[in-house]
Amino acid sequence: MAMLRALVLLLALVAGAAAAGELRIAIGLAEPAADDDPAAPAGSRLVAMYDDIARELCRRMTATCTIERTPVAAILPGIEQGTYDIGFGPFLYSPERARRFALSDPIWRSSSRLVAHRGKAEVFAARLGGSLSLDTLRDARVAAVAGSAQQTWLVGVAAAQRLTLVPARTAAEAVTRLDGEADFALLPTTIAYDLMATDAARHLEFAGPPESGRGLGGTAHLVLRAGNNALLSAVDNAIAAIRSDGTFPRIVRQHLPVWLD
Amino acid sequence: MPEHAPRRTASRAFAVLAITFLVIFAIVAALLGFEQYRVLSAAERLQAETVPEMIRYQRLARNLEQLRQEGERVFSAPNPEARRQALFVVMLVASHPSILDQPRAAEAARTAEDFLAETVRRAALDPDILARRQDEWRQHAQRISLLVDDLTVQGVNLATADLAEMTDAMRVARLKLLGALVLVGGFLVLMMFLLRQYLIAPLQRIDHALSTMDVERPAPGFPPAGLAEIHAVEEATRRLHASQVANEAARRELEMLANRDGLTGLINRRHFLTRAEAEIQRGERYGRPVAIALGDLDAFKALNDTYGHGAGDIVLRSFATLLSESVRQSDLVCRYGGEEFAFLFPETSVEQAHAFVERFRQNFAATPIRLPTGIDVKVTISIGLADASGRSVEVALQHADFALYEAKRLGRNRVEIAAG
Repeated sequence: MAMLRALVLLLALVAGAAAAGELRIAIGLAEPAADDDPAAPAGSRLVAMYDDIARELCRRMTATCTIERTPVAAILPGIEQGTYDIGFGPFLYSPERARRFALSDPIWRSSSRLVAHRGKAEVFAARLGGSLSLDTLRDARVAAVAGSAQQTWLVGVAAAQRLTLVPARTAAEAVTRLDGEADFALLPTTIAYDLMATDAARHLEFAGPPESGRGLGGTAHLVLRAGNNALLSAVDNAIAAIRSDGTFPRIVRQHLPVWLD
Repeated sequence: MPEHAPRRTASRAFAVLAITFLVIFAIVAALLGFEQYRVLSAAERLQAETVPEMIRYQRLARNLEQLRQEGERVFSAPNPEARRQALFVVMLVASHPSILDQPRAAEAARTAEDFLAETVRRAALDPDILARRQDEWRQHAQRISLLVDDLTVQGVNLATADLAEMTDAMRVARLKLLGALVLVGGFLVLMMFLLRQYLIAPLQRIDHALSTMDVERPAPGFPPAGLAEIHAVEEATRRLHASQVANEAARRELEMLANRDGLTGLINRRHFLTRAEAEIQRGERYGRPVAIALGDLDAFKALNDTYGHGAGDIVLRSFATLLSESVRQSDLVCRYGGEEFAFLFPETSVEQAHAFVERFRQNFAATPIRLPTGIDVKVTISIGLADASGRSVEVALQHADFALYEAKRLGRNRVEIAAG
């Protein structure tokens, strides 16, 4: 009986080790070239921060991780297809995502904001006869990352506000669309900041106030395949661990001038 | 308790006490449980709601403070690029959901952001605008600082309310616990008192009564009992004593019937032999003299033949009465058979016994006995006396019988002493 119990325990340990042993993590890129060109500044700070956090989580889970940088739009399909175990968008909470995926505990909070060429906001504000905001925006072309919460919101209001949706694969591509194809890009504020905080983006500015409601802000999560509760629990425990011992804020402050939680 | 007062059964009385105790204990436990629930609820609320809310306030205050510092950096930046970077951070912080979720903070951040964005834009054309707008910025900064202070205090106060409720609940719980302890202690003392008063003390009295019960002592008396069972046992104890007394009386009656002669009331021959044997052995053990005698009424057959057996019986009873009145308490006399009687004189030599029986013989011979017909008759007795010391009762009686035979032979109405 004791031997049987020991055997069951051993099998459980081996199975647990196998479950958390090899993990494939997808990190969302704001700029497609960042992976190939380490010197490229656009979006590189966030990617580096995601990378550090992902490696720390892996260390806490005692797992060997393969980290792959990929456009955000490719992460969720990759999770569903089993290409990745953990998706590091990170992704804003939405009921639809909660149905399709297993969402980790919140890793931080985020909002969305319009980005435009300098002066564009004043032009639109003058045209609209008041201040510019997501509510007052009319007759504009707005770029957003495909599959993002921003795109989802834009699709919902596009007809009513006479908005033309300009899809992009990445946040950097959405910014590029501002060169003639789009008037504004609606992006997560942190990603937008990371893209704009370079000399090359001096011509860009935030337009209108930030928005954290209507599915455009709130808690951001890591995404796992639905039903993978063991891994979800391990990820949540790892997040709690790096929060409680101060590792998480140290990593954030290493890459960004602000706190994200 | 008065004798006529209604008594309760022990099971009912103790069931009432137990139920009362249980009810009181349940009430106290419920009261304590309520305070415990308050403490747990406050602790859970503190952990699940208040602390996260405090952290939220703390983060909000921290972000606002950062916004203010970055605003200061906009004015102190050495060049336009540094100013632009500072403004970016201001915008980033102002966009954080923690600020957007709080209306006052969102309004302050929005106003500050707009002011700083306007300042940076105008400073690109006119750098002197920074100095001119510095005072206005200080008002924004002060407003943000006051808001930071308010939020910090509000966050701390959140915990204060919960902790105050926990402290209050603990204080009340401590008082209730103390009250419960006093209540339980008092109840236990009351239980012990009642147990002693109504159970232990009566049982001890019953135990004492039973262990010291004797037919020679009066019936045990008990104070009125409060419990029916105790009263029943006390009554049973009294009945037991009464029964023992009755049994003893019956035993004595039976003993008397077994040991006495029915006509004369003197002890019978069997009992006489038993006691005589014991007296002779005692005398021998202590070296004391014992005398024995056999007496036989003279011409008793003729008396019967002349006056009838009824007259004979009267003579026998009269003789026995006179004999009983004449002998000492320690002497034994019995109806040995028919008109024959035996005597045993402990602590008495043959000479002393002879003096007594001679005096008695004379007294009896001189005493007339009235028969139912009104005739007075005088009867005499012949007595044979022997020394019983160092002999068995049978041998001693044999000697006395020889002496009696000698007395009869020598003419009756006389006492003869056995030789040797």
